[in-house]
Amino acid sequence: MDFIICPICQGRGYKNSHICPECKGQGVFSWYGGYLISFRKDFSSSSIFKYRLRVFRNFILTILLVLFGLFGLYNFATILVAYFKEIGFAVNLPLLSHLFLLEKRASLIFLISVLTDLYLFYSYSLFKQEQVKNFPKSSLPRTYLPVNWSEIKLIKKKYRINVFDALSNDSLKILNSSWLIASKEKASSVEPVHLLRALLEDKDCQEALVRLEISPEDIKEQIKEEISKGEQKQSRNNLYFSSDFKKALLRSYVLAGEKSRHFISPLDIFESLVLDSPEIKDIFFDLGVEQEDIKNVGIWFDIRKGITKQMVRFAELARYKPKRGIDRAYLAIATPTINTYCQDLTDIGRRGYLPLCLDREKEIDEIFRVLKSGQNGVVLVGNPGVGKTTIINGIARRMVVEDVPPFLQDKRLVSLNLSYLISGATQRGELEQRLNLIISEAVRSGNIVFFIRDIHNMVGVKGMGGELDISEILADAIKKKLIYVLSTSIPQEYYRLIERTALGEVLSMVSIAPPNDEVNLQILGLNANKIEAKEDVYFSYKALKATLEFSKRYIHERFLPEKAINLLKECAILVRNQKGKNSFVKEEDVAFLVSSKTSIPLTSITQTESKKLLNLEEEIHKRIINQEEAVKLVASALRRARVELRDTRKPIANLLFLGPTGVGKTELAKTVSYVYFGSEKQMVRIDMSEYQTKESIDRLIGAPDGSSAGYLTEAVRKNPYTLLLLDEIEKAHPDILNLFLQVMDDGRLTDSLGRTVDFTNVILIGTSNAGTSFIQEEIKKNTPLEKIRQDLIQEKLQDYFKPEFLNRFDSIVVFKPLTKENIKEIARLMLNKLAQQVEEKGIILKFTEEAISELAQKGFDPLFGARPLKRVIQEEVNDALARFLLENKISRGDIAILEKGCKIRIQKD
Amino acid sequence: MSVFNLSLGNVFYFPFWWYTRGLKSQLVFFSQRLKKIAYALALKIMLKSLFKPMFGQFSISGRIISFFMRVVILVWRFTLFFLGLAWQIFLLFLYLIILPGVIYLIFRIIF
Repeated sequence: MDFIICPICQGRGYKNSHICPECKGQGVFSWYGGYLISFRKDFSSSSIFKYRLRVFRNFILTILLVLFGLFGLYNFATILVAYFKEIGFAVNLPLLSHLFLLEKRASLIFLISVLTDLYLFYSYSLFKQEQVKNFPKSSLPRTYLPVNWSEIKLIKKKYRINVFDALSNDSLKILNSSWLIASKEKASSVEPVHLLRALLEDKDCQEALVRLEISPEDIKEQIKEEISKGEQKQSRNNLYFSSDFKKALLRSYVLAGEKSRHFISPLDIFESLVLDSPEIKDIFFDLGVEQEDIKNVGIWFDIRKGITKQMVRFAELARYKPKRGIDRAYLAIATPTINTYCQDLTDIGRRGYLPLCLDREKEIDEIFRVLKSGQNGVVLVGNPGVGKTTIINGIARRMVVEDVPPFLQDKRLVSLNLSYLISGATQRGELEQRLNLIISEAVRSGNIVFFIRDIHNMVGVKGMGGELDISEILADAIKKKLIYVLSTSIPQEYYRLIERTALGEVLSMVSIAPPNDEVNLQILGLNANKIEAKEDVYFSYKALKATLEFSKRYIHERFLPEKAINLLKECAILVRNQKGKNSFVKEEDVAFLVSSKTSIPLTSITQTESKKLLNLEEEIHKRIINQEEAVKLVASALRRARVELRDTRKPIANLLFLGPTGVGKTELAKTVSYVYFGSEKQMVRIDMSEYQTKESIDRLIGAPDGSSAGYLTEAVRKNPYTLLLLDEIEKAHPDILNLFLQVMDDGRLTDSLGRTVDFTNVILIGTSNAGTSFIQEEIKKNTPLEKIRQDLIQEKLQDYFKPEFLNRFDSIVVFKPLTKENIKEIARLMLNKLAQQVEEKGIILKFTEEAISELAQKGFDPLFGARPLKRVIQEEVNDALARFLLENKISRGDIAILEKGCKIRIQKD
Repeated sequence: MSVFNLSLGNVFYFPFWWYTRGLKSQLVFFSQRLKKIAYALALKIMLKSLFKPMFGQFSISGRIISFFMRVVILVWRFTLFFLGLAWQIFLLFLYLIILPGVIYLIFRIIF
């Protein structure tokens, strides 16, 4: 929005303590609807006092006048009583003319009360007319809007609007309060922040804040801070409205106009403040609220208020829709067969049971256009849940109030129920006969429009021993233009079953795409109102926003807006059960529900979790010796993922671990799974050596005939937040590796049934032994690890993997061979683990330093890493302990001490 | 601008408004009411389908009976329409005379 500022007073309206002679105190101007808008009003303590007095006086007067009106009616009753006493119950015309002369006092009171009532009527009508006048719609739109100050000055008075006149009473009160707040704070000008402070007392704004999960105390604190930063007034005079204040008011006028309102409501001012004032924007930004949020809350409130008006209007018009299938022209006939197999949607709509259809005018117009062009059949094709049935319900509602093209007026929309039609048709030809009867009734009645949900289910349905498909009977009737048919289908089934059949020829396809985010949010708002009434809970706006966002990101097998609506319903029930009636559903509650469904952590990070995340490396190193670089990479990836600082269209991290066998590649993956995901089992481990042939791809993504589900796709579909370990990746067939190109790049994979599986919450780790000998040689030569890594990627790995595959990994980590010291540490870890195991049997295992060193010495093999050590411990310690246990030489409470020479000494309890 | 305004200017504007802007809005309201009555009685639809057989009775006798039946319905509905019209005219007439009428009666009682 462009503003024109007075060059003399710079928008203040005052110059040297006097009203600016150039702009007459208006300061800031803008254009709307071909009119020049500005704000001009002088405020003072006395004017505010007078205003309040006037409001109070008018309130008292209105009450008195209403009471006087009632008193007048009472007097009229006494006049009538006197009249009937005089002449009995016969009407006597000559005496009727003297009606008001019978009881003079009562008549006078009554007549004066009529006069005052007429004045009240006049005053109210005038008020309404003035409101409309404040938002004139120019019949001649201006092609040129002057922005130059010298041209502005020449604009005639009739093309100027003072937005002050358009303020509602509540807004006016708020303006007065803002002036008083600024005056009390001794500010030099009334700033938007004063206006915001005054708005906090308004009921609608308070509700908006509650819906935005903002506590009044928090915002008051922020405002107080902002006010204290403001400039202090030097003298008592000239408390003027700042240009930012005026800009916000002009903006609120435009907002109200855009919403086709005839007055500026407090919510319009609230919304405009966030749009135009940088300091207010900052306050809300600090409270986690963006401009868009305030705008959407405003729309939500408008929808809520609009529904009531729409319902009244709908109910009024729906009264004229005839009941029981009769049309207004008496042309229709009785339709017993149709009534048996179909549901009358217009009748359901007439009774007000069909839901509202929001923002689908484009699609509905397209349907009408197709029907008008002479095609009698339409099929709405869209994924389940995008709103196909809602559009049909919207058409039914429009048919109830006859807001449809003439060919659909005075008609019934009936939904043909296929299960009713087919069930019980056991006789030869019965099914065909039923359908033919329905069609013939519709033709004779002339007022029937059919709706068939999932019309693809009709294809291939034949009667007992029948040759003809019932869809062909229907197609024939549509082709002959005997009936109108609206239907729905889903894309896969439409292309598979309808497109190339007789039905496909006669049905025009109208694609139904999911609504955009803004509309989805409005649809959620609309549904939230219904759910609130049903479940006795209240939704915050942030909860709605989170529902939309989470359902979009984490629920993949269904479509918007249905999946979001279902989530909202579930959340309402959850909160009511947990917190009781009249509870508030917050963003956290939605996050909790989605988290419990998907196991993805979405709730805000607790202190314990934060501590755990910050010390992740330490935690991992309790189980992994050495390999600092790899541990750091994994830990950083997890931290980034948890605070959402990552590319959400890709997996959390794609890592390739390279190194000799036994250095801890798989162990690191297991440790991450244990430390962060809670259990080693929270990991999808695929041994890629099992996928060496091209055909094994079916085991990963499912058989093409759908007979078996894919191991990989099913595992991730059921548990989208997981660690995916691809062990010994170099052994897989190259075509299988190609499958992972898409996973690593787009974070999704389509299984054999056509379902897209989301991989964006997966940590993908590939391990490989490729280039092991090269690594070992280079390590011996003391080549730096980074150099080894570069050489591996550029030369050695090219023999195993394609460059585009390697390029998709975020990091390729080379695991260092283990040193003697490392092996000793690992031996200690392994013995500790063993000690935990035997502790379950009540035996305490202790070990000496010499024993550890001896085991490490025996188990050290630079070629095989820690695996030989594991074998040595198994042979020397596990086996010995097992023997002791079998020979009953050791029992509960005993202490087994591993000593020098790897001998176990038993110390009895 | 408040809903109830008792300023001097407003009081003097009262009779003037009554016969200008007020009357105009009453006439608009009058025509809207008439349209609504006509819509509720489906007069346009009934006139359009005067010669169409009722309830799918396409036989000669059905057509003849339908025509006469429709005429009867139309006569009845037009009667209702005119009653509604008369009521609306009465209300409009009342609007026109009520202000001077009340003032006249007050003066007559007082003097």
